[in-house]
Amino acid sequence: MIKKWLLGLLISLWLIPSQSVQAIETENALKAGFLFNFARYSEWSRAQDTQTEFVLCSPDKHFIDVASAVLAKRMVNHLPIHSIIVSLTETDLSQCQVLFITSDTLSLWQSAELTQLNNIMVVGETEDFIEQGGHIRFFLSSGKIRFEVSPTKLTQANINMSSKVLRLGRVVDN
Amino acid sequence: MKNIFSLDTISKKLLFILMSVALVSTVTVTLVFSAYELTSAKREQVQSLQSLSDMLSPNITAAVLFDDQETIKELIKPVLLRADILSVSVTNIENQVLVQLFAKNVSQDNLNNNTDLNNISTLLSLDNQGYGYLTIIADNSYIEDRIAFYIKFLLFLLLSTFAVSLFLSLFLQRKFLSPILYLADTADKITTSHDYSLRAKQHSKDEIGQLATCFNSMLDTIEQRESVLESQVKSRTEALENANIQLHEFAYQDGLTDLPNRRYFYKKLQSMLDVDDMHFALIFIDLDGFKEINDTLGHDHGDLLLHQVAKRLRNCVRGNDTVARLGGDEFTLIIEGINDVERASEIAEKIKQSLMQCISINGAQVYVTGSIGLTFYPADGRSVEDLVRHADQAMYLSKSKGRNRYEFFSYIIEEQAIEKRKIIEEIRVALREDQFVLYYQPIFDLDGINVSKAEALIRWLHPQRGLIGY
Repeated sequence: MIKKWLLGLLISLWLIPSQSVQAIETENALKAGFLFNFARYSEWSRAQDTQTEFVLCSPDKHFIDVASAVLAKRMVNHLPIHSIIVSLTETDLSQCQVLFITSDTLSLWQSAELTQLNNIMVVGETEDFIEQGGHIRFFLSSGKIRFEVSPTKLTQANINMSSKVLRLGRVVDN
Repeated sequence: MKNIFSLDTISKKLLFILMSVALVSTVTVTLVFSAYELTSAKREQVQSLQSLSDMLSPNITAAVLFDDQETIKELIKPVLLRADILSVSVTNIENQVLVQLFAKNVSQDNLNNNTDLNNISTLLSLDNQGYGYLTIIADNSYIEDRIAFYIKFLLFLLLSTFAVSLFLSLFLQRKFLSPILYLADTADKITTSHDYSLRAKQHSKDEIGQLATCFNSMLDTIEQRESVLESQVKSRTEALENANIQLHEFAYQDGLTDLPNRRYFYKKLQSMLDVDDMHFALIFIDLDGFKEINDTLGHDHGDLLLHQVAKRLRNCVRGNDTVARLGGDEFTLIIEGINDVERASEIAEKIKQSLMQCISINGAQVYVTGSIGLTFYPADGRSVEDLVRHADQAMYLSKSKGRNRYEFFSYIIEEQAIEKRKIIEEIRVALREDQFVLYYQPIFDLDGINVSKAEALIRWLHPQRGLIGY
């Protein structure tokens, strides 16, 4: 009897982390989808004609793994999406069009000494991320992923986002 | 009421034609426009809904992509303000309903029960990839409202067109028909009055003007013909009247003496008998010795003699008395207002004396006398036959009493005449029955002995009267 109870407990303990990981992956997949849609409704003013791919960057390997899987064969402005892991240096980031800072990599973002990032849409998911230099921040509302956006900062970064998207998010300009 | 609507005048016919053309044209145009409007309304509704759907779909697509159902609701809710839209729904690409809103008082059951609905479905796509559908379901209220308005407009248009057409038709009718009506009126006046001197005025120089000219020309011809015809009729009438007069003369006048003849005499006598309280004397005259004059001097002289006698008889009576020749040497006179023997005797005597005067014919001196018989109406008879017969009897009495005298009728004469006529009739029977018997009576000489001759005597052995001998 005790063996059975112990066996059940062990199975439960094994399943709980497993379910949590799956939920995180789903959330990452949804956020990857959001980022993909942000990219579709936005224009980068300094887009180069020689550009051959649309680069989605994140210092978070887990996110990039999920995003790579979710966005495989997806196109933005006829360019295939390439999800890569980057270090938060200006040289590394220069190849990115979208940079997603997960809550796990916020400390890296905060510690990175970066100047104004042009032509890079910076998206985060932590509290006060926009005040910390981001353009868009995900948040949960009623169990659904929602976002707030700063059109001013996007404009300063030479990115124009469609009003169709802007009206879906919470605008947080001063 | 029936006369109002019967097409019995050219005015009504023209009005009917104009109004028919106007109505048929208007109704045709109305039907064509109605059909077009109905089709157009349906097409416009579909276009309008499609346009609305197209306007909404980009934003809804974004909301679908970001899984924002609240925004989808916000976006599609104003669409329901349109009266004809019953439901708006957004589905994902697997046709799972994300959001569906219904108009007031509309449910899914209503939609399922109503088959006559317009369903506009728009693919929600981005970069050529579909993410769902925006479906708008609308009823026909938009079309019905528009058709209702259009029907009111068309009714107004129809009534206006009818009124304007009527006014225009009346105006055109008056303008175009007045010369024809004037022409018809003139023709009617001419027909009624037979006054062919009337003419129609030429009001226009078109075909109706030509018609008026031709009409006047025909009237000229008719007037000329009528004039010729009238003169011909007049001359023919005169000729006919003359012929009638001549016929009358031939019928009632004696050609030799110019006196009324026997036919006239009998007619006159009958007409006088038909008048109440009439009285007159009837005189019959037979000339004595006329046959001898005729035989010795010839018929020409006899005719001249009769002519002279007639003139003398005419002079013996008043103008209103009648002198007629019955034929041969017989004359008769009707003296009106005479019913006494004394006055009649004076006239008879006057006639007798007048006839006795010598008559000169072509240098020959001849003498005639007259046997005169007189009767009175109504004393001597009440019919033409009685009067004539009695006058004749009186005249024969005068003749039998020695001629050149006059006798009045009396019923004794008639009885004698009847008796005579009876005896004559019996003699005819006696001849047939062999009632006459011959007797020979000897004639003796003076000596009383010898009989040298005898006389034959005929005696009538009458069945009733016995042997009669004169």
